[in-house]
Amino acid sequence: MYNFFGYFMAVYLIVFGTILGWFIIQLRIENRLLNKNKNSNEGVNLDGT
Amino acid sequence: MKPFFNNKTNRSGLILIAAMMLFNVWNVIMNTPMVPEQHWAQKIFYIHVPSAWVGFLSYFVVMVAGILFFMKKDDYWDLVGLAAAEIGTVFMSLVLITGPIWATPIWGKPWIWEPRLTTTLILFLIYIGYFMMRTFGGHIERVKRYAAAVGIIAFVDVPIIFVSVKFWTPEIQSHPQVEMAQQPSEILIPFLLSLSIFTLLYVLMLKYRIHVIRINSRVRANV
Repeated sequence: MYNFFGYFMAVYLIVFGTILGWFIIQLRIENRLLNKNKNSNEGVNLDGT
Repeated sequence: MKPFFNNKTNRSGLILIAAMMLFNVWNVIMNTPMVPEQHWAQKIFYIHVPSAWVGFLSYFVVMVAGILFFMKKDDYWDLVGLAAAEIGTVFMSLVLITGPIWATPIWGKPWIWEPRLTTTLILFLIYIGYFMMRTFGGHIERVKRYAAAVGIIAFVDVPIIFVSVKFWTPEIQSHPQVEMAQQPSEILIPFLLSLSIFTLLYVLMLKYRIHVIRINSRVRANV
């Protein structure tokens, strides 16, 4: 007999864990890129100002 | 350029979608019927199918962006295509992982080489090739044109996946041939709700990824 609830939980954890992980990765990339621009010698803002 | 979630609309969108997603999970657990042969495993369907829908929608966006890239010669559409291809592949990976998890207790084995699974795997592999081409394809302008062309051609597989359960003979089919319109409302309504929430989530993810890729290309241009 299969543990149906275990399969259900596994799928929900994988899907929502992946989505949450995706947002965390994007936040980290965004922060890193914005900091890189801020610390660059040129001092040119990304919006051209 | 400011952080994406500094914008009040984007922040409100994230909070709203997170709340809707929590409601969606609660709704699936508490308010959908328990199908006798599948019990909890049937409830996988409420996020497996919307994940597939978002994957296909995203690949449709890649195709449209590819066509617009060729028509307008605007790099913005290359960027949209890349963002949509990435998100589509994330969701297609989820489909290929959650499908076998559902299949293990229901079919007794995680994978069967039947039409819908095989054509879905082919689509996923085409996009693995797409990213390899993006990375190792050589000159950036040539890669953009190739990527747009692959994005347009790859979409041909999506309608094949949709009709695969009818296109090939029933003897070789294992996939449930479910007519959604014939489902009872206690299954159909939560399913459509989940589909809508996943679509909203996709729109937010696409906007965010486009924003991050734009920052990346501008930082690279400044270096």
